[in-house]
Amino acid sequence: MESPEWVGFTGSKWKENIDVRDFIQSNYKQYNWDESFLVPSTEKTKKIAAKFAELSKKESAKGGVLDIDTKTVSLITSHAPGYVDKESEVVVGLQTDAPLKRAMKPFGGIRMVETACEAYGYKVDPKVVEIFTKYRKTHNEGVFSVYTPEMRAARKTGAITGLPDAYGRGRIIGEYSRVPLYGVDRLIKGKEEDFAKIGPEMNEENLRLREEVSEQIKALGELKQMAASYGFDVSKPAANAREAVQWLYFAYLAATKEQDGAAMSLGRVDAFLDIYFERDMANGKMSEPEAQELIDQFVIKCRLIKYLRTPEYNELFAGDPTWVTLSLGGMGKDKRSIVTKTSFRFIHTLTNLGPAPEPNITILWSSGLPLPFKRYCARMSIASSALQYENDDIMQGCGFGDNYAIACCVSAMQEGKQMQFFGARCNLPKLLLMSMNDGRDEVMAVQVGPKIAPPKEKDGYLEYREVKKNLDIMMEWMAGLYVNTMNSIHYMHDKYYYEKLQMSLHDTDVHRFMAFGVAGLSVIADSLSAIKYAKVKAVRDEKGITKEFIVEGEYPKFGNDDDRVDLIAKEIVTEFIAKLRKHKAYRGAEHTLSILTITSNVVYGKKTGATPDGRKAGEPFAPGANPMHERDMLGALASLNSVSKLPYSECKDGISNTFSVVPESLGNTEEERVDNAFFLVEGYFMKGAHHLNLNVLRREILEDAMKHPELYPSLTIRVSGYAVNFVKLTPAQQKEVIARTFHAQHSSHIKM
Amino acid sequence: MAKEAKKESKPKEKELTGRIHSFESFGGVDGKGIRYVVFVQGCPVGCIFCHNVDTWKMDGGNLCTVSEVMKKIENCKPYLQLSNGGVTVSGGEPLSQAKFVAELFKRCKKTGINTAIDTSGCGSKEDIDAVSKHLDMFLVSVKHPTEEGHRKLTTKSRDELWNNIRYIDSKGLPMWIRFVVIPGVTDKEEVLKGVGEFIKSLKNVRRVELIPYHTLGVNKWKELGMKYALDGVPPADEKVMEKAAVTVRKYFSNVVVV
Repeated sequence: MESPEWVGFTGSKWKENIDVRDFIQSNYKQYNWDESFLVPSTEKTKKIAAKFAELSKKESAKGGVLDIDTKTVSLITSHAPGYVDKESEVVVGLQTDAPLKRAMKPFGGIRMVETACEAYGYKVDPKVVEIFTKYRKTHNEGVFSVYTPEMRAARKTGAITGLPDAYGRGRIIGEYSRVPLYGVDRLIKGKEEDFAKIGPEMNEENLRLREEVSEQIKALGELKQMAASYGFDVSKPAANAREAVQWLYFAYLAATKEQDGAAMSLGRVDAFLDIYFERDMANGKMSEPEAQELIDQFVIKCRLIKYLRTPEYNELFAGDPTWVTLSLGGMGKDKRSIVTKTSFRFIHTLTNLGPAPEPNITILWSSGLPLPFKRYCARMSIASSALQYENDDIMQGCGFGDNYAIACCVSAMQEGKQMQFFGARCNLPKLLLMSMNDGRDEVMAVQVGPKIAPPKEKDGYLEYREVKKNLDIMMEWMAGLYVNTMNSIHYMHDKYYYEKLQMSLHDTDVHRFMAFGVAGLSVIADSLSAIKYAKVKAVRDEKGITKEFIVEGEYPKFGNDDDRVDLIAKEIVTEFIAKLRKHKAYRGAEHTLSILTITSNVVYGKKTGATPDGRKAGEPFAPGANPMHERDMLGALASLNSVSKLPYSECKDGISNTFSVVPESLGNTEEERVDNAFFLVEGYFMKGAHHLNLNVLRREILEDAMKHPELYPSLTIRVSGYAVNFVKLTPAQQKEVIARTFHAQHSSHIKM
Repeated sequence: MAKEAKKESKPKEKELTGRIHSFESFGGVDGKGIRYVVFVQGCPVGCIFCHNVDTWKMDGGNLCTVSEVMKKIENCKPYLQLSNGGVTVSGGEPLSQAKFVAELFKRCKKTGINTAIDTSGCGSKEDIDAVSKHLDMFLVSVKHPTEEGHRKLTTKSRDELWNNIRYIDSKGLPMWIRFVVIPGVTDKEEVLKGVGEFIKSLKNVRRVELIPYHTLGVNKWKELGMKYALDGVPPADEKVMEKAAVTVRKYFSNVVVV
């Protein structure tokens, strides 16, 4: 079926069926040259940016929240249109009727909404509270009505933590580009056809799916309504680039009005939008400044997305993040690079608008990408520390194809074809301690896991084999508990807080992942290494719980390219995912694992007792898959080499590494710094590694920013998997970031 | 004590060992591209502005075999090759362990890794011959252009080192010259002119790096109970460095301020 809006586009498959990938592959134009075509922001954009800066300042001054609508429950159509500056806005749409006014999303849990409002001096309308306590069950209530005592204990002690049981689960990416390409009416038609095919037997599975698809159709109708309130008719396909950007943003906006998942990622839209820009430019309907204006303003809109969160949430995931993760670049199956001019335009927003955490710009890096693009990325990393890199070659190798995007930080999924059940993470060092303390938590001294005798010691020292034996039992138990907990959460989320809009932008027959996670990998690896290669004595309190570990002698530490310990880390993750796989996941989901903590490594560390590696009780873990702070003594490459030994095929939900390097140590001239940064990423990925956050900055700058936050309002740094505004971190998080290894030739090596 | 003993007993029979101060797997400032930098232990030059004073002691450091060092380097090979980088042996004074360094370079070249040495030229002609055999480039530090000045800054005579540097030059390998600009000591016009003239007299210099003096290593002198002669001398700022660069550029065009 040919639409008049498609004139000039080639290909056929995508016209028959919903197939954005085929549209992109049939129409995009590779761009293999450099950034010299880029232009500054237009006057209109500057006005909007200034307004946004002013609002953000007010928001900070008010303690982090500018305003809350405490009366209206957020729905796709709940709020009247809102504007930043109607005259100058070329992309419109806000989550509520005013910029930075936050909305309530109580379907995930009313308690979270109430706590958040109270923390910022607001009170939820009693009527809303009544509805969501008396008449309407929430996801949160659902989960807690089925949790077992064991699950509650594991949750309370933080053995499993960060569970999405009080708000939206997030990490689902709608294929938002379907809306501009097809128009909503065509999408509704497709869903109606799918709906008709579900059955005929009305078993539980079919009934659930029929209900879900009917919800999806409803959501698409609401999306049309929402757009109409802004004066746009999205029932038809977008006719030009301006409409394509606007339609796409509306689709994303609708999702953020309906859901408050921790990560509400945007997907991969660079080549898609570029096709529209190219067509308009070829017809003389668009200039480069106009194209950049659309991208700049689209990005400002992404930066305006906010959710109502509690201060505790911020303690865990600092800086009020939303993970509007935007994936750029990558290679096609046919070996053509998918880098377009619009990939550059998105990165250029860091120059035009200044660095910021959102959108979370993620470069899908392949050895085959054009050199000028890679050098531009390296240059922008040095200038802004705002980019993250993920290895397109290995993600494609693991079956994600060439139209996947990243959700949150490091989670790959095929656009419109795959989704995930976000699974938080298990605190591995705590699990190790539990296996030494008869299944009790070492901090709260309560029984959590099975009662097993502490590992046998020899001459008062811990024995590797015995410790491993106990750990294995505890891990086996945890795997079962963890899968069952996730099953409970996601069953309830589907039931009470289903992502109807986002799922309407997926194929009806969707592939599901269940994405488990681990925290503290380097701590447990070093702990086991210490027990194996040095002598470790456990000091226990009167209850027999480990309070301290005395390490005698040296042991190999993760981060020094030493197989003796690096392979222990590899073994741990491989064993853990194997154990998880033994337990059936809800809706036949595929088990995956991430090594990612974001900033939660600080809180996890705080809740974890002393560990056999010599880490003191309460000290932060290293983030993600990072080696522990300052234990990587052989410089950057040795540190990267250790992390690159972790197997992506077993950790398909991502292996996060956050890397900080001092600019001067990258090279002696600007061009050498760019080259070396570029080769650093390239080499790391050739080694089979998955992800790299690249921070190029000096520790003194961060220390100064701690003292004078007002001087650094937009200092952006990469943490595990996303970027944050440094001055918005808690003091504890700031200290942890500063304590991380900054790779530099330390002073004994500075040449004179 | 047990730890020390372990270190000493480690090396296998017969294989050549070197005394190593430390490793830096990601060197961005010691030669072309990304370098795996091996800092050897022991230096006889005794510069009063030295930063790595803990590398002087000839019997310190850890003994490592060539194979042990090669294993570390080879794990970083993709980075070194992609970036047209390689291995740089620094120190300490690498010429003091010429046999070990020569063997290491030989092994590097065998697997296709570029080699560089960072030296003051303090060693014998035989040492230089040995390390040059499998070498791609020299990084040579020049201390001071007058005999008197050289004697004040180091324990060696200018001629001894300069003759060696000329000998190094005769090897025909590309050479980068490095010179530390110390305010009030080596930033004077006549000093820089002298250095410029010397550089001009050499045939194979490809680049000159002017290194600003800084005080980050001062503590080490104190920790080792040694007196630091340059107490109170401020770090070289941008202005000092730019001025120095202007002077040296009169003799040689490719001058980089580090």
